[in-house]
Amino acid sequence: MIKRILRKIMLHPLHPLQLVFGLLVWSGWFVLVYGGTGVICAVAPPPVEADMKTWVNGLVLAMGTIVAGFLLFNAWRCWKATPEYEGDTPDKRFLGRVAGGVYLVAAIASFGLALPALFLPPCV
Amino acid sequence: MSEAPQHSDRREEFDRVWGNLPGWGQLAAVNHTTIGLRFIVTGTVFFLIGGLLAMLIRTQLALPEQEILSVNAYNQVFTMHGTVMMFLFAIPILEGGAMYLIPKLIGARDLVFPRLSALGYYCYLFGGIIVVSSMLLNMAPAVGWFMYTPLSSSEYSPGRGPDFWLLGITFVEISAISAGVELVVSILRTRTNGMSLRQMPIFCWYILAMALMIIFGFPPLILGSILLELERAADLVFFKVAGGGDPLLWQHLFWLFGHPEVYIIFLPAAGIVSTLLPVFAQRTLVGYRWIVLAVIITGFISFGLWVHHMFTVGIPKLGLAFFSVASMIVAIPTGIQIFAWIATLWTGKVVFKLPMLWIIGFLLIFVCGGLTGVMLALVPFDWQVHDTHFVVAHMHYVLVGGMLFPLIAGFYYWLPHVSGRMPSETLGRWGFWLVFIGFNLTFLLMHLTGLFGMPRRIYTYESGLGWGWLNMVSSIGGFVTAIGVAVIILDIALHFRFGRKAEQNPWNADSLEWAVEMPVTTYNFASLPEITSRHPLWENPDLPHTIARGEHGLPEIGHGRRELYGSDAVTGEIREVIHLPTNSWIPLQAASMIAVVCLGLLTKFYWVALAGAVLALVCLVRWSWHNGAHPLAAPKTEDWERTDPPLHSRTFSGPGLWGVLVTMLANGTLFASLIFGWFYLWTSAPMWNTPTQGPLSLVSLVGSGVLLTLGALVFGWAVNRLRKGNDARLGPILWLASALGAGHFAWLLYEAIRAPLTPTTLAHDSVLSVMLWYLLLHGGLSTLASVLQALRARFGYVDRTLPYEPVVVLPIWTYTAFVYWVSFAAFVLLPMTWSG
Repeated sequence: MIKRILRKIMLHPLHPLQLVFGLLVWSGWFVLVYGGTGVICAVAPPPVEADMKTWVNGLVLAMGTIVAGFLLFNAWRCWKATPEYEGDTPDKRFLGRVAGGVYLVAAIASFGLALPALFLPPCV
Repeated sequence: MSEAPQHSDRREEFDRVWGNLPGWGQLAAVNHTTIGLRFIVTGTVFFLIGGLLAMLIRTQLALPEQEILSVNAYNQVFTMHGTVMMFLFAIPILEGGAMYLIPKLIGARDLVFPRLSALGYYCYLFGGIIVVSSMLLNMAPAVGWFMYTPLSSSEYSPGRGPDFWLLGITFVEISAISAGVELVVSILRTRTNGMSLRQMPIFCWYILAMALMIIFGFPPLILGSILLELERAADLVFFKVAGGGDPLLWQHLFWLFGHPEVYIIFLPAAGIVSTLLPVFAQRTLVGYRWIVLAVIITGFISFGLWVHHMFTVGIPKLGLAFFSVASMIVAIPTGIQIFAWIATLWTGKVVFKLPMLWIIGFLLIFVCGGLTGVMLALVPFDWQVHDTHFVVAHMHYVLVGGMLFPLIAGFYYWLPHVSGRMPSETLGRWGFWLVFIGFNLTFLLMHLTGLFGMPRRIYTYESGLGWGWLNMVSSIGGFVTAIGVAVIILDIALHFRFGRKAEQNPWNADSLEWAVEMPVTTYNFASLPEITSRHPLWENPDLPHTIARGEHGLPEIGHGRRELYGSDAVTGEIREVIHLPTNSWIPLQAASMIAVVCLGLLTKFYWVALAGAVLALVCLVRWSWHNGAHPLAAPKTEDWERTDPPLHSRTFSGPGLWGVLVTMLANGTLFASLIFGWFYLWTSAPMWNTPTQGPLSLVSLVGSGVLLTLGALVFGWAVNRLRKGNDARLGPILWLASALGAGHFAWLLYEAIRAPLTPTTLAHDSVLSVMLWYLLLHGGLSTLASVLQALRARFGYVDRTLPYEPVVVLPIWTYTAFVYWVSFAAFVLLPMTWSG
């Protein structure tokens, strides 16, 4: 069931566009977190005295974890779908391995982006 | 089909079809070898100009309290040094190198849009001349190569300097975008038979990433330049606080371009390193897949660093931290590449020829520059050394080490390609050591100068601050570097006459560019080989001969067309035969008219600019007319009509479709930058003001949008019918789409004129005005393209056997409708929810 849904809404793990999707998700997350905190700080800034214990920090950390989890899941999908040996499908192995690496790095970068929310207030 | 010509006649016939016109006709050349070399030579000239300016800077700073240059002259000199080196040397020369090399590396005969290559070159040349001429007129910009507002605004820079910069550089950027589009499409769609992504030469991955970064990186600056010029020339408000603008918006738009640009420069240079190292280590590149991964990561992450140039402007700490983290993460892919290079050297048998010397120099200098980059990514450290000579030193370590050294290595490596001769090892080594020692003398100590507190961009300094000896040594180093550059130029000039004749594949390289004749021909390959390995020349050293004998694909030339393979983007399997335009004067004419627009705006003769724009449009319409089955392109003929594979203009997915899609990506980035500016001003501008009553009529906008959407649907319907092989009433349907487009345009124009906008008072209305002009431009473009298609259907250039062009135009309609409704939501509906 889950596999069928995934097949419908997501590209095949060895599709060539997987080479960039992981980092496109990172890019979207980057724009969202930078732009989003900017808008929140303009419209409804949390109190300064709360320091880093604000709902904004919590949201950034939670979303960073979700995004990184999603990317890790995709890295696993690519890794699993990659043919074991070059054999007759060297192109697929190439795509799978590189795409998996891209997702992995994107996951690290996305989680890393959220980490400063542990230590810094959002609008100061 | 006729028989292929005999080998003895082949070269002559290929030269006849692919050669440039004689005499002045050289100006009509479009082939990539000629254009690429022109980029390289022109870039070198600009490098020498930029170098002279650097020597002036070093002369002025050599001793304290000198008055060789006045404050204003010094400001002009350092501004022009940065501008010339970044915009007129580094990017164009690498683009030119890529344009020269890519078809040869992928087994193609030319780039996929040759006239675009030529247009790009002339835009670069004319734009560069305009920018540099400002110095001769003593009107050069004097506010830094980054043109920060408010210093560059008309209030603080009332002269023409910033206008020269804004108009000239935007003109040059046409060249960058056109190179970006055509490199992307050429790499993805014109690789020779069987060259899958996995088998692409590593250099192509770097250039693919660079070209895509140009597509996404340059539009923010183009938008910023247009906005700043509108503010300066027409008093619109974008960066002035008083009307609701914000000077920091310029910094964001500039560095949204400016930081990726560092990697736009670095990636091709790293590509040269990854290409040369295995050749001189005489083994395959270690970690090809890892390097591809690193290139892709760099291409993306480098867009998340721009604010690290703005750490001191007062952005909240959490925001700064996002960019600090990204700045550190970008070191990971660079590290991957460096380890792969070291592993290649470690496991190979290194031959220390001249190019290799420059690569070693690169590794040493660039690693140092990268390390100081990681230091600067730390916000507190950056605060300490911001705007000091430490940053100048870091920047030069990265740019000179990361770009110039590999570039010179590449020059030496590919020199035999152009001249058929080898460079001198002796003079070359002198050149290397002089530059290497001179560079380190200049910039290694400059880190100290910065740490001791010497700010950037000061024209002189007092004695007794401890900076004197450091500056003196830096200046001596600068002149040693200049002597080294002179030796290199002398070496290259002399080698054309005295250099030893180069044998075929003189470095024992593995890639296809060494399978061409030397000196190189305009068509590269007399026949197009099938590729089964990443190292074709190591696997089959006889390839140059079998190619020349016409033993591979597309050996025939009797049809008189310039042809190459169009292949699948992933597998490299052949899908169609692409026919290319021949020599043409239109690129030169179009670029000349754009230059008239530029000069008209600069001199404020707006009617001249308008006339230039109209004539440029006429040139471009003529350009698009000479396509497809037009007698000057590939008319249908009994003898030479190809069916398996077909000519691309007889299909639904040729390179033009890819070209327009990539162009729309660049266009979309510009639009996204405008939306970013809108939201930025709304959230951050200190005096932002939204009028209580929106100035635009909802009814008019919805009505105009409905007409546009109907036009797009009708055009899409025509394309769908063509896909089903139905071309009945094609002309009337295309005319209907054109009429709907014209209706949309007229209604929107009426609304733009009628609306009570006050763009010279309010930033809100200024942005709305730009949005309306943007939509009008696209509505007009879609309509004009449809009219042309309707006319071409009437002339028999478009029908069910020639369905290609409407397929290419459809994305323009779709994009126009999409941005219209997004604009309606973002610029009209959303502000209704703002409190003002």
